[in-house]
Amino acid sequence: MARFLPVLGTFLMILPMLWGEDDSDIRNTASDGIYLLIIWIGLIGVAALLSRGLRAQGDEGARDPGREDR
Amino acid sequence: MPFNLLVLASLAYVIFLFLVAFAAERRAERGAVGWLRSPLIYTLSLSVYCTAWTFYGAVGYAARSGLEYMTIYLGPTLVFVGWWWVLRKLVRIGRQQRVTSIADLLSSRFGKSNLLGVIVTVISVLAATPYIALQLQSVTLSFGVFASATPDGWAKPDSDVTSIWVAAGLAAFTILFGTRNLDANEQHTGVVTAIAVEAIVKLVAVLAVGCFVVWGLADGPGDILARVDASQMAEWHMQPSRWTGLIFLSAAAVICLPRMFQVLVVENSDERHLATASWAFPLYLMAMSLFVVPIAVVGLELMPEGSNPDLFVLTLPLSQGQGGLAMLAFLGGFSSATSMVIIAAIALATMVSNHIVMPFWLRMRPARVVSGDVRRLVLLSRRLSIGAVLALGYAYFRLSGGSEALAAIGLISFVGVAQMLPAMIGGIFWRGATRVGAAIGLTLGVSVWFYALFLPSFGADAVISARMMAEGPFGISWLRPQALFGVDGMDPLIHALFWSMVLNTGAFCLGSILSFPGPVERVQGAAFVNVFDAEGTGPRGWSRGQADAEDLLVMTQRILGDDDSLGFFEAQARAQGKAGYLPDPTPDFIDRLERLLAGSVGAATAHAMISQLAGRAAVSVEDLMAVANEAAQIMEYSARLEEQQGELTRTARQLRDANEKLTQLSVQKDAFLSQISHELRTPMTSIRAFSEILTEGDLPAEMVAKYGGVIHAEAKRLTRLLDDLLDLSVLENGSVQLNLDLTNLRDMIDRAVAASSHTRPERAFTIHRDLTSEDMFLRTDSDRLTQVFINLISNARKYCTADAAELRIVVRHKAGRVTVDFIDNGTGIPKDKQDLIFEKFARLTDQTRAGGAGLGLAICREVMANLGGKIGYLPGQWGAAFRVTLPLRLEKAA
Repeated sequence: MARFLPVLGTFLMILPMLWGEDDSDIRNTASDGIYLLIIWIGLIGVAALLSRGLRAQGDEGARDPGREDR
Repeated sequence: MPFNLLVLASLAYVIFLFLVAFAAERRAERGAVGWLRSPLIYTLSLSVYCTAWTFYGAVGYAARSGLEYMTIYLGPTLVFVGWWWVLRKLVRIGRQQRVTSIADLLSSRFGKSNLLGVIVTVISVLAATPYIALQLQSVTLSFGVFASATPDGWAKPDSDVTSIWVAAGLAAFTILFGTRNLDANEQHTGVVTAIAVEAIVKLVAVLAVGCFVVWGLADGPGDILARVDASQMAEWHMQPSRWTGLIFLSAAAVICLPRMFQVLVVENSDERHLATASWAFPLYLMAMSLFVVPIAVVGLELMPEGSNPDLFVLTLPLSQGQGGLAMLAFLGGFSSATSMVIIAAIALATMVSNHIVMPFWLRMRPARVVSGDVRRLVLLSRRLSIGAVLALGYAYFRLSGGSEALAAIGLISFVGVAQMLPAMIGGIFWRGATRVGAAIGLTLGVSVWFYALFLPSFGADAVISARMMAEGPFGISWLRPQALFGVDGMDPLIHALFWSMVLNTGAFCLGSILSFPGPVERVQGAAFVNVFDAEGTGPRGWSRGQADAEDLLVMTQRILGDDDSLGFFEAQARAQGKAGYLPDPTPDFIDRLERLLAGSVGAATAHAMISQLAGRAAVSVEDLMAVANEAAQIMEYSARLEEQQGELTRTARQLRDANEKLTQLSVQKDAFLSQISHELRTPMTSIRAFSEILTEGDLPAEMVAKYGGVIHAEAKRLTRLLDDLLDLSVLENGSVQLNLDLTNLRDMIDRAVAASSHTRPERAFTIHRDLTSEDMFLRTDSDRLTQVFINLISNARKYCTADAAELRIVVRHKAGRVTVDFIDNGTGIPKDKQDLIFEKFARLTDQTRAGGAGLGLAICREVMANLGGKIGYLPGQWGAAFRVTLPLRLEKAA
């Protein structure tokens, strides 16, 4: 899931490119901006949730011997 | 606002940062790291990504090209949200290999090749120059805005003067905190803390201006949205190529920018901080860009036609009479610029000194590795590099005229650093990537960038003539800088990004497939790609036993300083089960030493330095197996065997050492017994003879007095010998009575020097002391301690072989313990005897019958043990050297 998140994020972020191509290239900047902000906040939220689980997982190998031998 | 008040405010702010950095450094020195190394500070320090370009430029960018400014923050968001893929691996590799910079990472991955280090360093310096110029420009512009508002106070100096002062001030700050010491981990706690403070300042400033604009000037978010649709921003067209291209570009830049790499990987102290940063840093970016559109929209509406949108953050509050808010905004912009320049200068200076200056110096004078003071040279070269980097930025600022839009300069720089992406990603995910591929790819990519984007950025006719831009060099139309291979009509930035990345990646892959990696490269490749599997079992490239431990120690001392290197060697010797300061030069030990040195001077340089002492690195069979063999079972089995074998070797080594010592001792003891019988018999014989003569009587009075005197002197000699023996046995039993009192160390040394002055008084003998460092009060048994000092000084007087004998007494105080070193300039003590000199009856030579029976140092050792300290021989000092260590306050044993 953690690996999938950036892929999903990329897809959602380049999605606005496909909108409004038909009606004379003029788009609604304000609503685009709000859409991007919502995606942004969503990504941050999911990442925050995931990081809890991953942190516990990463704990085992997190301390390496290399840096502590002096 | 008057210009002088502005200067005063900036100065006060800088002094505040100084104090923060200084306090953090002090705390870290005392070992109380605590919150200084917390995920919060780590995340905040990552905000060096948000430079003055973000702070001022984003609003201008939004005013010119609508929502496109968001791409610059969406790219990093994706990278951080996907930290499990790339960042985690980078940080792990960085910690395991003690990487000091991005150039170090690439050079280390591709066989510790210095060529790659040089290429990456040159790219980074080239790409950072416009960026640093950008920061200078923004600070200068913001000064200009403030100062032009009111004519009173000092006259505003012209912008050249301002920028040169800013550049010099930044150089001074960076040098002061970035190059204070040469740390093996290359971490700068003070600077990072100051950067974190600046991160808060700039965030608060942007949010304050944003809130003022949304709720003060407009009527809340709804009104802003209506204004956006009514403004020229609504006419913005999203160009798909630019949108995706810029997201990719900013994602690449966030891991490849030297300053980001510095805070992300090098300054990382705990991998788990990354988990917090994965959401907190995108949150920070979002907060920074949240109010960009409102400020841009309201600015376009309210500000007079033709005012620079890059400065709306500053000019908008100012035009509304909000002086305080504008001041906050000014400090925010100032923070963004300074934090970027400081970190970038540190990162670049490390790269320049490790990959260009040091290898060059090593090649010039290879013999001096063991004698010159490398440490000072490294620091000096870093300081000069910082100055040079800032000077380059200043020069670019002057050359480019400082008139372009901020965003354009920043993006040019991004495309430059993005060239490192293929080599870096390939290096950590693809074992087949080779040095040749990386070098060709990097060179090709950078050449395209330089030709198609960097040079044209100076403007038409500045470097490339307008005719060449239009028709191509020598009229070759498919080489036109902004339409390579006839691809016309593309946005120049995306055009350069596309071609440089395509050619770079293509050449990298092709070169890697067609070339063959060397052994060291292969080993490093496996270590990098499989960093999570091969925990701790790094590659071992060193063959056994060619290096002398003492030479290695001397070399390490030149880089890390005496204390750190002695500490490291002692710890390693203890791990091998040996006492003293010199471990056996096993491949394992040399490998660890190399990584330690790599933390200070970079992998390639450390490798080269050790190669000079240890001979060429050879790749052992185990390494090749580790590279080629996927059969984990065999590996595990052999690892277990190896572990057992290591254990056995260690035990055997201890036994061998003990046995050797015993044999030597037994020989010495026999020698001593005959010696002591002789020492006892000589006085006895004369006493007997003279007393016989005396008993016969009939002697003149003066003869009686003379013979009596002889008997008395001989009896005294006997008593002294017996006293020594008794003293030793009492000390060894630990039943000695200590008289603890508070005495000045200087007085004790004074007394010792005076008391030992009658030993060989005919010799010229100089003693160097540092009286101020000696001035401290110790709670200890002063008579006993003085006895030890007398013994050491007399020994130096007796045995120092130099013509002009000198003795250096160095006193240091650290963490409640005092060390006193006695170092003379004689020939020192041969290695095989160093273990023995503290044993009873030990004497190095038979000819030195100057003193007692070889009990002096043995007594010293026992005295120090009773005083809660120790005495040891200090190797690697070009003379005999003894170190006495004792506690500052000796508590009486219960």
